[in-house]
Amino acid sequence: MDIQTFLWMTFGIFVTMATFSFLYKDNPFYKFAEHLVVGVSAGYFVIILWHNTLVPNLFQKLQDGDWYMFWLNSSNPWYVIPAILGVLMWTRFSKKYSWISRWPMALYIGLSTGIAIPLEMSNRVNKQLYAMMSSIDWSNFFGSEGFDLLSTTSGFAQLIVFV
Amino acid sequence: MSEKVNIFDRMMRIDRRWIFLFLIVVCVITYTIPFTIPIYPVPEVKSIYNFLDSLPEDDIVLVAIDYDPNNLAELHPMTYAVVEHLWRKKVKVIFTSLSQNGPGMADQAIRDISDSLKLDRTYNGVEFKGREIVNGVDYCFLGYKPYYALIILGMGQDFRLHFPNDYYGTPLDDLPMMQGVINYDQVDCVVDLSGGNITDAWISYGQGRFNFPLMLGLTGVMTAQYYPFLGSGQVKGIMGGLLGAAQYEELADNPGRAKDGMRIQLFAHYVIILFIVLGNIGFFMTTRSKKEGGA
Repeated sequence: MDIQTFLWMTFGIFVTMATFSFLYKDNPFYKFAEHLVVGVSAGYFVIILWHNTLVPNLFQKLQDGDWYMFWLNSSNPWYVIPAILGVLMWTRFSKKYSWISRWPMALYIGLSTGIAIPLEMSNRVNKQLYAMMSSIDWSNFFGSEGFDLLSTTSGFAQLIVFV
Repeated sequence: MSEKVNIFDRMMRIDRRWIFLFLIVVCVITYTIPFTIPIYPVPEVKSIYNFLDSLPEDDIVLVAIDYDPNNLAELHPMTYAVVEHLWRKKVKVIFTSLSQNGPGMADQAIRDISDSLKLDRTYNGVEFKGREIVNGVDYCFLGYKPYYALIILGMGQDFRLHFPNDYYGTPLDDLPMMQGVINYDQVDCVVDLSGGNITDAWISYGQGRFNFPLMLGLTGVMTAQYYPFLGSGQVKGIMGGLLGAAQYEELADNPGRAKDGMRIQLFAHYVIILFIVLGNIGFFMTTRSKKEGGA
């Protein structure tokens, strides 16, 4: 085992023990581990967003344009639109201009809703209802050979569930 | 004058730290004693195993490693068991990791399983020769992208839409196994190993929209929530928690971390049940003695 692996593993064990020390009671070691996790997670997510979203989906798309032309002369000028909408989100931090952030927010919510509602209805409501109702045997309810109380019982119960 | 404390009062007032300590001691002792417990696979795990076992060579399975390190103990054994099973059968695997802290674990699992595949092994009486697992030939690791619902929808159009390059920076078009693989149409099934809401997105935006066979590996506490999808046929099978992973290992004849962990979990559960029983006995006996004292 090289020294780097040894040090990282030792540190990992220390942080794990510090986290579990909360089971005894709150203490500075636990606080250290807690803040470390929150800080590292936030920092990691920012870097991931930057490299996986902003760089490939925005900067690389607009890189052949010129900044003094607002990148409108690039091969993908329409990518400027989501960039502007994204920047407008930050107006929430201004009391005076926070209303502007409603526009990108409205678009975002509208798009998300449009995507989510049909699929959620289909998969969480319709398919579940269909699965419940597919076992209804209508011939059992009406009776294939006339009315029979015993054979109608299960069909009747299914009809109640259906209704 | 001090209040008289009887045994039942003591049972009600056991300090939680004694319980934690007792649990740790039991787990450590159980870990050091080698023994096995019988595992009986349930139909929902068998259906996953049977489906994956029936896949011919060179078919493609998408394995979504959608969990963070906090679910590692339960879900990592599933990854090891499922992926080793697929690679032994020479089925190709596309990995994604739509959980923020997942890619590092996924990368580690891929390396570990690749090493394991170098050895000759016999599973269920079938001898598998060791072989080298090659990135781009046997697997493709797409990595992580934020906003999992959009990514799942986007992969239904084209994997290259959100993942022009794989996790290691190689363009997907340069990977031999990705030639002609456009979207879910070229994938035989999706196995989602998840410890959170990403499973909902795979059901609604993945299986519901693109209609591929979906199998789930979930943490123990999540499992009950997804049984309705098994009943409706939206999900082909469910592996629930460490027990689900152990059942898969049992079916694959590849005992690993899950079967090893089951014996510890068994005795940890015994300890918890013991303290629940003690607490309840203490509660009912003190309530009874108070009633009798008051009467």
